[in-house]
Amino acid sequence: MDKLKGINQAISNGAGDQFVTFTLGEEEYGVEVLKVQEIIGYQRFTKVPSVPSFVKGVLNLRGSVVPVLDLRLKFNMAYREYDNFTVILILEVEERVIGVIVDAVSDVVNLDPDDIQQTPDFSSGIRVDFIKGMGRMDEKLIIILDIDRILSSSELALLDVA
Amino acid sequence: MDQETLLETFITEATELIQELEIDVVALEDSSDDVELINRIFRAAHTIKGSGGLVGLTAISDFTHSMESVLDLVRQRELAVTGELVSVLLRAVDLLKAMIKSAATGESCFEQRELEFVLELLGQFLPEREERVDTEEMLSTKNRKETSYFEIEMKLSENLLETGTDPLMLFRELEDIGEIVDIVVDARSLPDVYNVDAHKLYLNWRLVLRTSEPFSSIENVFIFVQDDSEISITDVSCHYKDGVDLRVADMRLGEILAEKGLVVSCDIEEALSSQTRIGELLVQNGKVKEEDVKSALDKQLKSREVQKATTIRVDTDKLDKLVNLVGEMVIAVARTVQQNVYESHEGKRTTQDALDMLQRISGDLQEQVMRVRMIPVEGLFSRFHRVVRDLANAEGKHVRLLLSGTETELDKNVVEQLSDPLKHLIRNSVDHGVESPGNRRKAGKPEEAVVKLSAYQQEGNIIIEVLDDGHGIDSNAIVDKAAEKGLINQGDDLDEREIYQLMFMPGFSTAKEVTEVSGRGVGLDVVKRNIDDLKGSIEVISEIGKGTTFRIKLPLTLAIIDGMNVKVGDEAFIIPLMAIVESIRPNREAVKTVEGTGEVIDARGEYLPLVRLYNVFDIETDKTNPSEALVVIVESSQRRFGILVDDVIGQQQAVIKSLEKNFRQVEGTAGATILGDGSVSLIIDIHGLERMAFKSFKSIQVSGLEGEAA
Repeated sequence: MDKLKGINQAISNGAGDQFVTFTLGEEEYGVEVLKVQEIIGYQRFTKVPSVPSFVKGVLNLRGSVVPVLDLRLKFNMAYREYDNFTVILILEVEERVIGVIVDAVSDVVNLDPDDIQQTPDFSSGIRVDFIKGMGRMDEKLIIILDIDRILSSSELALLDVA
Repeated sequence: MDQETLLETFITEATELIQELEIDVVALEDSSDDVELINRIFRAAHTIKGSGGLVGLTAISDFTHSMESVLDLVRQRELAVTGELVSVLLRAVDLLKAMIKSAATGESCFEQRELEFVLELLGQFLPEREERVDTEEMLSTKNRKETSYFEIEMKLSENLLETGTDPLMLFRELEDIGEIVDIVVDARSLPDVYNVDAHKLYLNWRLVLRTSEPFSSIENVFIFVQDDSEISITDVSCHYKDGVDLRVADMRLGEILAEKGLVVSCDIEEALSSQTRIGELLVQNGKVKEEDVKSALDKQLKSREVQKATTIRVDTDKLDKLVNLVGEMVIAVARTVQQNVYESHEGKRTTQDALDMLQRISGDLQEQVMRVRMIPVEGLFSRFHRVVRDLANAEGKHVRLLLSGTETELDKNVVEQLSDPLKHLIRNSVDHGVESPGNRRKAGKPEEAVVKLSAYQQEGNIIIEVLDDGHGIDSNAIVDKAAEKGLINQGDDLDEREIYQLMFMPGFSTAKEVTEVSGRGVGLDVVKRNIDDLKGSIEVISEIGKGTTFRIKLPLTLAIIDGMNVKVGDEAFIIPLMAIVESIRPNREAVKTVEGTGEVIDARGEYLPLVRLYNVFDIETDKTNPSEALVVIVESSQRRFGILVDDVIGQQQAVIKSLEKNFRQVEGTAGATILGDGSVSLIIDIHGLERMAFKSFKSIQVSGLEGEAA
């Protein structure tokens, strides 16, 4: 997990146009580094009753109870067994701290605003309004996610409290 | 301090002061001779006036000025305390509340018309000349009437500026009540410019004020500085004629020199020490009796001693965090101790001793930290004098509110959240509980009814009771009403406790007629929900003809609960200990299925509904056979029921963590806690679980009610 250490170091030093990249299936995704608090290895969490299926449960992050979502399930992708590469991105959205499970974390990269195009015709199966833009990095395409929208209260079904 | 923080401080302080003011004004009706009480009321109004002016809320300070004028008359014994006066003052207090709310929210919360009307009401108590004090014209006519000259020596405290008082304010206030005809500034203690400390006040003043106000008005100006400053006020009217000091003619050289600042400071000190104090002066002038001055001085001394036990305001968020952390520490320590016992071999004795000590200290620490959050219920309880007074007057009843156990302490959050339900219960008692004086006479009871509000501790819980000596609640009437509303079936076999619990169901109200204050359909169900939110319970005890008691049971704190750790599948849950009656391992025959209702369990001859936790929370487990598992019998305010769990791990304290903070409220849970191994465990909310498990039952009730409403 030395790689995690390095990336967490980069995250804590992160600046404006840097992005944390990770993979879900074949695609590479990015979120603004400033939204990411840290990345932790996959760990056991506590199941929570009567919540949407993409909410896997809650875990203890230094004394705070943090919900954990599976981003694959949120994006209606096929479920995949968690393995040694599975990590949890700890994000901060709307003053909430939320954990997001992804297949693997790749890197922290610099993306010049010029390298990011507005969402073109792209068939990724993900709702277009979840995508902020497409970043070009050498030969790779990075899908920049609008994490604020994905994790907004309404998307998390926070409103339908019994 | 910038203007905004200043305003915030003012609003917090003023809100507290008004609360006390309201309580004191209500108390005034019964004890109109209590000088201390009257003075306290006056001081509160004066403080609001002063600080309101300081933060630029002139409307508030002008309005309190009018109140103050009336209160001053009361203080001077020129105005008798009547029920009418108390009512007007209470109305003024209400308006003042609204005005402060307006200042706090920036929205207008009161009507100008009400302001004018209340001012007029207050004005009726003032003698003619006091009306409209602020116009220049009135001032000059007053001057012609009866003018006195006061010489005021102000030896202000060096630290005056640090307390937020500006001497300029004092001068402005003096100019409000008269004209400063002569003023000498004493700048002798002013150091050279390099040594000046900008936070210190080096100046003292001597001035002569021409005014038609009484001596006390001038004293009032200095009400905030007199504790640490030396203020001497002398009536020198006899020395003045048309604004000229006649004394200068025969003044001694030394005095003139001293005034001009030509005499060294030690001489001044000496001169000051020989100066007559206010109290002595008053006695000399025959304005007060010597013993009165003495008692006033004693009081002053006492209040100074009290002030020495200094207090600071702390953000409750900070306290919450502290309570949380300490709670976690206590749990971590307990775990370490346990671990050490298990692993204990020889040579570990000293470690064990140290750990025991650590555990004891951390326990003490937790207790102390929790106590920081605790406040006595007195403030909350006293507020209800007003409620009872207004309501009894409105209904032509005589009701006395008795308070007991006001020193009982409760978590601040709990106290705040108790205000609404308690108000409701008290209204309920005055409105529906106690009879009219006529009916009471007929029943052979004293005309004055008693409503008693008491608080006490019992086995780690706080009990709060609202008791009345009214006609009691007829349980047959409740049953009829509930059946009529479709809440129960006619012929249902209910015991007394269950019958009284029916009153807390939504839509249930036994009031025959709708009065202005209660019986609007929102009723005891709201009270119950509020108490549920506080993780407490409520029950009713009533005897026909004798009276009714509502008993609320609350946990000592909201931050930590005692719970039972239970296991279902891979998950662990905490069931609040307060709700648990017992745990049983049922035998094969104990569980029966009742057609259309679900499963019941035979618990010592009583059949209780059985809730399989793994079903409700959708958890995988192989312990689905009750005779291999355990049933925890719990009691909600509606009913007793059994919760089927795999196993009971043990009792433990749980620090309640919010799920809402990062996520949302989760049905059936009251938050989460972190276990010793670092994993998260959900805390079960008995009432929430009950709602989930008996959903179908509830929906039948609701539809029944809707049917009736339509």
